[in-house]
Amino acid sequence: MADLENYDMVSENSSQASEHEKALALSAQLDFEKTNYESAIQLLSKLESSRPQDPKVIHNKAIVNCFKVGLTNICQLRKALTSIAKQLQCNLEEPKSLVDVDQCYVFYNEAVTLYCLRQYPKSLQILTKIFSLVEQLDESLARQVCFLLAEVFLRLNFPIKTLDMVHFMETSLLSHGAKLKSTLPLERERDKEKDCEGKEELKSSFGDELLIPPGVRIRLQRLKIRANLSLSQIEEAERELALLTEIDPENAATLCLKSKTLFFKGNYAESLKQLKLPKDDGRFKERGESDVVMYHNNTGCIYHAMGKYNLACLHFQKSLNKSSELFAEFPKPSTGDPISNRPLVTIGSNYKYELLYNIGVSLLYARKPADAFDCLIEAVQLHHRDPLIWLRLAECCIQVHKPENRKDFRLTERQREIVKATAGFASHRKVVLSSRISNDDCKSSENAAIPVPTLEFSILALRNAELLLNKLIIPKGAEDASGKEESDSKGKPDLNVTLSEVSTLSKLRKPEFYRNLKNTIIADSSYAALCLGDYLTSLYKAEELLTQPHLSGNHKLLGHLYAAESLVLLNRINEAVPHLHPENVTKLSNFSSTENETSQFLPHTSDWFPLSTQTAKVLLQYNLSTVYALRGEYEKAGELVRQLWNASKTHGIDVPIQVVTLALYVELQSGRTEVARNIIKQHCPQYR
Amino acid sequence: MSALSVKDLNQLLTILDAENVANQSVEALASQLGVFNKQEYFKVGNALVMLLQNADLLPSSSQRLAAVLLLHELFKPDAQNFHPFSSVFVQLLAEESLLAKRPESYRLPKLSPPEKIYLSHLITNPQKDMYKKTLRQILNLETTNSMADISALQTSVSERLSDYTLASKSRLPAILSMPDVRPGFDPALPDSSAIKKTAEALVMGPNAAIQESVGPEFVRLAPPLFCPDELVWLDPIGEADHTIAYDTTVCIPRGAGSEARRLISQAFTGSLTLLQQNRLLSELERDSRLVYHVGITPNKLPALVENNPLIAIEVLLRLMQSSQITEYLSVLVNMEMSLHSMEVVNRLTTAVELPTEFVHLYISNCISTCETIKDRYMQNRLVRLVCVFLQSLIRNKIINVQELFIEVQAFCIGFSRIREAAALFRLLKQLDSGDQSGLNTTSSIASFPGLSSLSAPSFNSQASPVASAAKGKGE
Repeated sequence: MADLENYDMVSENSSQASEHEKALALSAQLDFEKTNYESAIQLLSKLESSRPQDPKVIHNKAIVNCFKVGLTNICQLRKALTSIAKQLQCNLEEPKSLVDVDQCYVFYNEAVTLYCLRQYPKSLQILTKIFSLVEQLDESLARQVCFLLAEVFLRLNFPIKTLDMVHFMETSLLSHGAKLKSTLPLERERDKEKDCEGKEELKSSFGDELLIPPGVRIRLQRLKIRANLSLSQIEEAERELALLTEIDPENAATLCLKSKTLFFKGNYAESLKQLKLPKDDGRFKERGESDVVMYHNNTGCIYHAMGKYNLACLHFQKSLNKSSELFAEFPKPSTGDPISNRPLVTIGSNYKYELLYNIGVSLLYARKPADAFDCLIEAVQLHHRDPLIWLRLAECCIQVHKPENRKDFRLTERQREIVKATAGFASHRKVVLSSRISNDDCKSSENAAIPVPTLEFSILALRNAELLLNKLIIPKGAEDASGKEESDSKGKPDLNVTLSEVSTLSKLRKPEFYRNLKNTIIADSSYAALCLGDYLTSLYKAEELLTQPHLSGNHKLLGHLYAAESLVLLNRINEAVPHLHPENVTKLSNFSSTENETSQFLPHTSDWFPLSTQTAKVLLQYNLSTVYALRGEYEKAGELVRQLWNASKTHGIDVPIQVVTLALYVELQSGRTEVARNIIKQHCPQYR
Repeated sequence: MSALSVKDLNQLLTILDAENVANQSVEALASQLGVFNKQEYFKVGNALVMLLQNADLLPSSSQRLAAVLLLHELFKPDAQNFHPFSSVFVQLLAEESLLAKRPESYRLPKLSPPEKIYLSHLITNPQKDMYKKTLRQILNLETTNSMADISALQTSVSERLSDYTLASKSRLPAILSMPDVRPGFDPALPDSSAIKKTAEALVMGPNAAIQESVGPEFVRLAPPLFCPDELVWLDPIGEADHTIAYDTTVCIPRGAGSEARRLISQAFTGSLTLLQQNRLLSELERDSRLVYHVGITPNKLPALVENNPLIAIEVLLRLMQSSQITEYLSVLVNMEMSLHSMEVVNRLTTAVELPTEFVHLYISNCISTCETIKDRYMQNRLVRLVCVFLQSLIRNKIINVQELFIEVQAFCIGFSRIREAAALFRLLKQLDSGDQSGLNTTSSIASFPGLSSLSAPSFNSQASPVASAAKGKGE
């Protein structure tokens, strides 16, 4: 506090401005607002010569200089800000040193540049500190600080805080006279009666806030819609959207938010209709946003959700191309200063890596895992703290390794592969049986640290995903919204948040999401370890998977299959048998039975094989017969295999080709070579 | 590991050639192993086993025996070194009855008794003279001798095998004989060139058939893709709205006075935001003398009351000690009656003791305004307000009803069509009859909700008895 008083004195002494100086300052400001930067600088220089010690004058001169070159020399600006801060006895690196309202502009401008450089946590730190002085700020700065805070909270995945900020702005910062509503009971009654007469919805939200200028109103509405969508509060978002549509119906941004709301509702066809390819992308340099980039990307998102992955890829690619095109127009940044030569507003709006992520995931779903890997490995450079992207990389590796499960079940296609080769003729004819008709094992190859889509790399990626997921502070979800009431009574919202070290690419997720993500990572780890011959790890992971709460049907099946196989390969064959009990199959689904699937928003239907419980049971039984065969119980194994085979013939149940090879093996082991030969002849008629 | 080279295979087949193998001594046979590189011995052994397993590739019995003996001679076992093909010998020497149970897939040839006897002795206790025998001699040995005891070998083999997993022990060779018996493909006589070609085909290549094996295979499912994912949607943010700010406070002297003056002058013309109100109030709070220097005059008071009643109250409370207070109050009393002025008066009455004549004057003013107003709707509203206001004053014992009884009663009767007036009338009657109960029950509660929360910025949710009374009687 002593510092503060001391400071007050200093500034008091230096700020005795003469009338002439005041006039100079005012005309400089007016010139700045009219974008007459040259004359603003001249006026400020005059002012500077009479007030050489005034940091505000120096500050404004730096600002105008920066605007003069279209905000392209941010490094210079930040240097200037740092030295002005020093003059103001504070340090931009330490938001704690902000104690006085006069220091707020410097800090705010630092926060803006940090925001544009996507350093949201740092920006938030500063803004929170400025916000503690919000009562003392002049209105325009207070408003800018609040808007930026709301945006930063949204970027950092705290949509509830964004809503709090919006609420604060509506009630405290912008609303006039709203306070009187409650002081006289009869008046309040009257207001209510009026409300009942009609336009209820509009009134209840607008109320006296109709006095808020429409431009500000629109910004607030947009924030509310985005925050609500981020919270998956679709109904609220729709309500806010209706209000926005009234004020600003034709704007591309309104349509984009409308499309997004419909997208979240799962109404893809309507969502798609809202989006229109803009004719041009004018003013990208000033706006920092490109409607074309946005259009293609969002269209791609919708197509992806509709399961049209290739079409989605096409749009994402167009979006990426347009984005690169726009950024190519800027001159090359000078050496040592990668953000120079381009307007500040465009620095943070380069969505290259997000677009690459989108392309990558769509390619993965389009079953082009190697291409997908290339995109994602680039995207991970920026988003290396997102567990999801690491999982996607691992999935690419796995899909490269084994493109699909269905292959083994295409009997007619696969049966000729039972015999791998022949040698000799006539009485010397030999057939060479396929040693592994479906070889899922992988020979450990190169260094795993080299990013190529191999299972070794998938192990690394999965480990990253798991570590990051464990570090992630999982938000409690929409329930937190009740906290809004609290901030109401306090007047000022509580800005305290616990920042996670881990970033996520997109919106706030429900807890189920993180559970499912965790289970997927464990299942994938078990599979990759199994294929790489690390059976202890695969067993450990499979057992870990089976102990998870809210296990989906798919993961339960996989957990048992991987555990059984790992146990067999670890020569603990008897322990494997209980895992292969047919009752271990429940409803096959990507979601656990406790999760309400109807409320769960499902962008795409799973095309994972097997889809039917019956097929899954066949798999367990087949693997069980394998265990019998390994234990030398050939009769039992043979009987089970025969049953499966007959079921496939009479009931059309899918069985894997391994049923045939196991039958062959059992006959060979039982000494019935002639029967074995007949099996071969039956499936491979060329060896009659 | 690649299989045996074609060159080595040919050499092996040459050694095993039917024409000359029968008459060779074991010693001579073994010496021919010298043509192979030592590192290739294991591969040679593998090839020999393969040939033994495929009877058609070693048509004569002497060839078969030669293969067995060569296999044995490849490695010299001792205490430390185990013959890698020991299990083959164990099988070859197994008893006939056991052999029958063995799956044919191992398909090792059945040795004749003389062969077995010779081999068992060769393994357990090799003597120099045993190597002098030719193969033909061995095949025709008398079977008087019994087989040597090979149980030690059997035990060590089964011990070694127990180290292997079932999954690896269960493998079978992948090569299966499938003689083509279709017409026109009559089994030809053993033909060394056909044998050679077949053997070559089985041994050659990087994934030679000889190295392959079959066994029970698990079906291993790849896990499904993580599903509930949506991609990154790009929102219109209005990035340009977040931009560098110009400091507009330059050369504007800071300090409480000027800011408060600015806000007060703004407050005369329009309502302040909550934030501005708080700021102004805190400035006034900080400096008790400031209120005299912010530019408020009695003439400007009505404007302040209408635009910012809360500020007006606060300012008036601070001006209570001022010599000008009477002027302020008389302006307040005589200004046009309105919601806001009534609010201000009401709050003042509860916060400080106002001169009685001042309150009476205000009430009279209110009543006469109600009576003279033309607009019927506005009249009703004002009457209701006045009634609620009066009730509040009475309940809080701010005024003594008796002093105003006649005037108020006339007012009530005049507007008896309005519920609030009727209620007020009932209250007056009660008080007149000396019944204080209606008063006592509510007197402890501040009737006007705004008052109690003057210092707190928000009081939206406070319900008051007046409010609920008004609600109940609402039209």
